Amino acid sequence: MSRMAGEMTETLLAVDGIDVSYRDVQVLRDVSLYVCKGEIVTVIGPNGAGKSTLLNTIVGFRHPHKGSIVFEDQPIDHLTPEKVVRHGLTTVPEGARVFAEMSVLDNLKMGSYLKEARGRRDETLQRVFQFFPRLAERMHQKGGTLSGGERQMLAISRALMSRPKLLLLDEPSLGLAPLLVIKVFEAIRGIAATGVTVLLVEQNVHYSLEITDRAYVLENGRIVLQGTGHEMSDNDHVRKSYLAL
Amino acid sequence: MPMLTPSEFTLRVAGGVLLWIGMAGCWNIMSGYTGYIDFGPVVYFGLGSYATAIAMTKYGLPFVPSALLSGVVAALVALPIGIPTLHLKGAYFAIATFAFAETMKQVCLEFDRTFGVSFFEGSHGITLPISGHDNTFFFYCLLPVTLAVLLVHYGIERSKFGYGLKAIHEAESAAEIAGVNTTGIKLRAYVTSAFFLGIFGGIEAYWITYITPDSAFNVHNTVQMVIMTLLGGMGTLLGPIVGAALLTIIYEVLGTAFVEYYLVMVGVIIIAIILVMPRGIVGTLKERMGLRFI
Repeated sequence: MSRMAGEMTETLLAVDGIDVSYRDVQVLRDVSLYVCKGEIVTVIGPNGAGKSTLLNTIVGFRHPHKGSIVFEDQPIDHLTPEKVVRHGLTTVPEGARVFAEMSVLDNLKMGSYLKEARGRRDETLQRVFQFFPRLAERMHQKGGTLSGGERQMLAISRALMSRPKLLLLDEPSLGLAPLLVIKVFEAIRGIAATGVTVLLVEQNVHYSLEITDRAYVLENGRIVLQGTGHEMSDNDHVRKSYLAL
Repeated sequence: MPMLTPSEFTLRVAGGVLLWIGMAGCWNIMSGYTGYIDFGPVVYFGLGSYATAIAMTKYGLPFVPSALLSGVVAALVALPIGIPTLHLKGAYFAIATFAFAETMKQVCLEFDRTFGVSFFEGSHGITLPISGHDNTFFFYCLLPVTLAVLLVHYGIERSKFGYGLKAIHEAESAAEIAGVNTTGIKLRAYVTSAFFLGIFGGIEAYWITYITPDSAFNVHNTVQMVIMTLLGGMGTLLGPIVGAALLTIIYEVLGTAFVEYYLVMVGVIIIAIILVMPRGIVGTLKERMGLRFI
């Protein structure tokens, strides 16, 4: 699993010095980070640090008033989410947000709404069912009838249906039983192994640092630390504040 | 229907049923599928009524082109109104659409007096040329328009456009991130609905032959569209048909038999149905029986 930094030279996503505010409350201050092709990168931080805002800004729900976001050499910071998806990145929103009244299969079809993804829908569907066989069993059930863990799996799968190059995940372990948390992280690792780059935002520092290549610590809207997953697990500040060691 | 019965009364009711199926269907296209509760659809009906009345009386246009023109006028107005209002959520959207309908009513009332012209005719209203056509004629005018509205429903039930609308209803941000141009398709639904409402307004005006701002923009029409669709089942193909047909017939039957109390009875029936079938008749049946495409 350990990959050398030198192998990963191609930057997929570069966030450079962004400031984001909700009206007059500034949430992100001069945040910069990059994600290289094939990496799993994690942003950890306490509640209210701005982690979700960071992801929402990358996918276009908010726009930075300073700084830039570049994906594959194309600026995307002024685009709407629906346009950002076309560039090949998508997000699994916090709390899954599946389409409750639609069947599992229709939820997945919604994921391949874009023309480019629709052409290869059946192939992608098979791949997704390999990751989460459970969803194949529940194909015709309504999204709203799934358990919390299944819903998270469905949300991840729906995102994969758009065949993203970069998958953003907002707290995929939120509200899940410990056993399911492990399952979800294993799945994320498996997805990354198929060539999808992953940017993960998590409070569950223990498991996320285990699967991540590099990590950033976001506190009060600023990046205060960065390093490889191992460096972070060994870092005093991280150990004390997040791992309670 | 006209072949089955010679009775003008029955034909009048049948025409009313068609009109209301179509109107409730228009509301369903926008609000039923997306969950954006439009509380001012009557504005496009009213604009259509006025467009037909003005085209026929001031410009001497024949009825059919006037009615089609009414649809176009309504759609053209819906476009700039939809762009800003469709960004509003929940109650704010409902209030904005309601306010716009009331505003247009005032415009029709006060325009002539303010600008010293004779166009909308203010509170006097406009009398359209007496058609001399019987109810059969109007039945056949309404039939293709209502069928077209239902055809749109059919298209929604099996298209990407429809999936997009339903996704907006359930989780708009998740729809966006799936690549749905949410503003675009909401606008398409809104303008489509306005187009048909405009035509219905035109036909109704010619049928009744007399319109005033109060009658054409009557909020009661909006309420009817909403109740009929809720009763039948929001966001379903058969919902507006069942709801509109049922309610129109109940009005007619009870209205003739119990002239004084019928409104109370209608109210009780509506409440009873909604209590037993909270998702509307079709919506609830669909859910209990696991049906998909109705």
